[in-house]
This record gives sequence, C-alpha cells and structure tokens, in this order.
Amino acid sequence: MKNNLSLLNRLALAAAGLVLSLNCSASLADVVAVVSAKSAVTSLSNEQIVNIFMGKTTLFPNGDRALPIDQTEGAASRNEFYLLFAGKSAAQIKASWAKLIFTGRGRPPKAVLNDSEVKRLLVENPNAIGYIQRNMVDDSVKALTRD
Amino acid sequence: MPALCKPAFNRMSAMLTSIALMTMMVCAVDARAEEHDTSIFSVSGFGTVGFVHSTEHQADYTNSPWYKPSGAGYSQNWSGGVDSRFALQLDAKFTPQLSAVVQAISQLRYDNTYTPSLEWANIKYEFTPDSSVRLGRIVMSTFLASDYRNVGYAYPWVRPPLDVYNMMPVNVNDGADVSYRFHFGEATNTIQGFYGVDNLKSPGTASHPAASNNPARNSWGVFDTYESGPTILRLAYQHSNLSLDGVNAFFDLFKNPAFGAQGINLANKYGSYKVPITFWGASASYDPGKWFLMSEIGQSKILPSFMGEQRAWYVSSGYRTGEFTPFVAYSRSKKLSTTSDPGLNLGLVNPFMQGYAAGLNAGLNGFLKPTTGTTVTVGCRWDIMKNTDIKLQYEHVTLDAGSSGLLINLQPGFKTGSSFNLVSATVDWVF
Repeated sequence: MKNNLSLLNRLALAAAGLVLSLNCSASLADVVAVVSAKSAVTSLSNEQIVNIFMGKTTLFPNGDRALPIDQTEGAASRNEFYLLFAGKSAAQIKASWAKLIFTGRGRPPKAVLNDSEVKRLLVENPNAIGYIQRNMVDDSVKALTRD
Repeated sequence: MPALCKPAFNRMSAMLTSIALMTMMVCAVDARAEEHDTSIFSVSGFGTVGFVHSTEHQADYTNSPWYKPSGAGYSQNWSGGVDSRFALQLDAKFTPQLSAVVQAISQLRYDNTYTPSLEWANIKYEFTPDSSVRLGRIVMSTFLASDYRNVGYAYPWVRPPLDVYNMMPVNVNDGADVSYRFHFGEATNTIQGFYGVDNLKSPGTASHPAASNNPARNSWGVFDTYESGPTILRLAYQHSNLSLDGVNAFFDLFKNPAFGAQGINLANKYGSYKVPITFWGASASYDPGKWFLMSEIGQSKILPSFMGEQRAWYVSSGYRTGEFTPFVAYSRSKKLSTTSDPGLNLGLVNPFMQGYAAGLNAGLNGFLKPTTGTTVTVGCRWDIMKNTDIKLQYEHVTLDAGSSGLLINLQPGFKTGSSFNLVSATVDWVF
C-alpha cells in the first residue's frame, strides 16, 4: 500500500511536471505577430516576419510596404518574440543590430513600450506589423497565422 | 582614378569631417533628449576594455601589426592597447532617402596616442530601400566581420581571427560605393561595389623613424553576400595600388648608383611602389541561434613586392548555453611566394660598399620572412548584462619556419618559427 501511494505520488508529480512544461511552452507560444485589421496580409512565415523586424526587407510578400513596430528592450513580449520567431536571445538580437548600426547599414525599427502601444499604432497604420500576447488580440488587429 | 579627382576626394573628406563634428556638437544633446525614432539625429557608440598577455617576451603581439606601435610581450606584460577602444557614432536621417553616418574611434594608433580618428564618415542616398549609393569614408567589407571588426559586442571572439583578418593592409576607403539587394523569396543577395583611395599612417621604424604614409590608390572591389535564414555565403574581390612609404625608404637604398642595375631590379622587385594588390575571399556562416559554424578563406597577391602571395583560412564554431557562448577557432596562414633572396651579388659591388650591401641583403631577407603560422583559439563569451559582455580567450600560436608571425618590435633574442600563448580578457559594450 505504501509503495502504491508513493507510485501515485510519483505519477502525480510527473503529471504536474508535464502540465508545467506544457504551460511553459504554451506561454512562450502566446506571442503572436499582428497587423492592422485593415491589412491585406493574413499569414507570413517565421522567416518573413524576422526579415521585416531585422531590416532585411521593407515589403510584405504581397508588395505592400511593411512598417515594423518593435517593443523596447525589457518589454515583456520582446524577448519572447525573438526567442520564438528567430531563435535568438536579446543579446544576440542586439549583436545583430550592432553589426548593422556601426557599419551604417541600418537602424532598428521604431520601438514602443508595450502591447497596448503596438495595438494603438497598428490601428493608425495599415502597413504596420507588431507582436503582442495572444490574449491582447481584439477586433482592431489581426493575428497572423504562421505557415 | 584620374589624378584630378584625388584632391576632390580629400576635400570631400575634410568637409564631411568638419560638418560631422559640428553637427555632433550642436545636436548630440538634442538627440539624447528626444525620442530616437522621431529625431533626425541619433547617437550611439561602443567600446572595449581589454588586456592581453603574451608568453613571447622578445616581441610585441598586436591586433594591427601594420598600424600599431606596440603591444603585449616585450613592451608590456599585459597590454591594454591591443583591444581597448571607444567609439561614438552620430547618425542623421534627413529624409527617408538621405542619411549620414559619422563614427569617431579612439584606440592606440601609429603615434602611440589614443587621438580619435574618423573610422566612418559618409552620406548615403537610398534610391529604393534595396539600392543605395554612399559617398565618403567607408570601411571595406573584405571579410564577413571586417567592417565591424572594432565592435567586440558584435562577434563571439575577443578579436576576429587575425591570420585571416590581417592579410589585407588596406581596409578603409575614401570614395564611393553602390549597393543593390535583390530578394529571392525569403533569401536576399546583396551586391556591393566600391571605388576610391585611402592613406593609413604607420608607426616609424628603425630605417624610417617618422610616422609614414601608406597611400592606396585606385582601390575598387566587388562583394556579393547571399543570406537565407541562418546561412550567409559571401564572395569578395578587391584591388588597390599600394605604396608603403616607410618601407620604401629602405628599398630606395638599393637604388644607390653604386649597385647599378642589380640594385634597381631588387628595389623594384621587393619594394612597394604602387604595387598592385589583388585579393579574393570566400566566407560561409551558419547560425541558427543555438550554435554557429563559420569559415572564411582569402588569398592576396601583392606582387611585385616583399609581401608576395599569401593564403589564409579559419574555421570557428561555438555553442550558446544561457548567457555563455564557449567557442573554438583554428586558423592557418601561409606565404606562397619566396621567403628569401640572395640579394645584391657582392662580387659585383665595390669592395668599400660590400659591408653596407651585406647589411641591405640582411634587411631584405628580414622583409621577405613569412608572417604566417597557425592559431588555435579557445574562449568563452559571457553576456553578463544588457548590452555588455565579458570574454576570456586562450590562443596557442605556432609560427611557420622562419616566420615572425604578426609580431612587431622584434628583439635580438627573438627566434623565428617559435610558438607562444596568449591570454586575453575583455569587456565589450554597446550603447
């Protein structure tokens, strides 16, 4: 009986661990790329999104001009976004920009403080693209599906 | 370049410099006060404080044997002059098409001071977001990291592998470049071409105590960079005509009428009188985020001159775990052209001049010595806090037979073909 209990305990622990790790990856996956509800863009690949934010392209695949709205360093969604979409840490993103800034090849995109600010700018500009937590998505913006 | 254009370029550089410095002074305060995305001007910068120790005490190790006067080993036990530097950059975006960049950098230079010099100063016009032309001072992107080689924060090592990165004595250009980027689906290909002139100063030497000029003329080149996700592939070709005035002061001695035609022939064969440099390079880098693997190879031909023909390559890899990036690198350089010459035939020299001629021959063979070898590097980068990293690096350098490597200030006790170790510690930051 004692053994059974400890087995149950272990199972419970394992289940809790599984739930925790699922939660963990779910919370990571909760940052979504968003465009204005008025934008014609509906889906982009990870690489297309990263290319826009890292200054490698200024256009959406449909030819429309893309205006990336970044979040400032330290903003809750920023690190999640770059880790999830580019597989890179805040320091790696900063190092990538250092290569471009100090060779005169580019400047980072405009950055705002948080998800609400991103949404405000997206409403104002149909060419803008940003990233916010999925639970911040409402009618004013459109979450992009990743293909 | 037609001779008439040269003064124009010099004037332009001087003008850019003064405009840039004035705007820097007037606007730096404003730029800091305002939101960076709404202001025309933005100020940024980077720096490194680093110390390196060399176990070779009979010579100095430096990252820039062409342009620095001292380093670690002989002059200093731990040298701060090899890696330490500080740079301030002003960017101006006048219109969506027209922008300018000025970067002043303070680092140990030819005159043994840290007097700031202009590393970048150019204006850029973007015809489209994918095509642009720049006028002014532009650092050559000979290798992948050449144009950001001073920005320690931008790469994993304490310094880019020097066996490769030091093979080209010309690395800045005052002139123009054009760039065009095309897109293939999610991949991009950027082709860049440049044309211009340059004059870097080197420290004085025994045979030429004053600092000397190293004018590079008729510089042009083409770089093609393909980027697709984590992959970068690159091809480079460039050309210059280079004169190392300080070195030529030595080779001019061979032109003494007492040596006749053989002296003139030797001077022209091994001096660097507007010697054509041709260079090609290839680079590949794969960096999916968690780890990286990169390799570059280059071959330079600086003939006729003592520098001759050289090939160098490296391969480097690192793995990122949390804030730590341990890395390794292996680099190899090799001189392909002659490393010795009998020099003046003493039998044809007036007996009174034979001792002097033998001295010149020894000097000539000093210049012809290879500067090549292999380097094994092991190190770790630690991203300790926002915008700041700490690096520790160990290197084992094995010089080729007869080689003095990239060492300077060789002492009488120095033995060519030796091996030695380096330990470096640096802090890099950007702001």
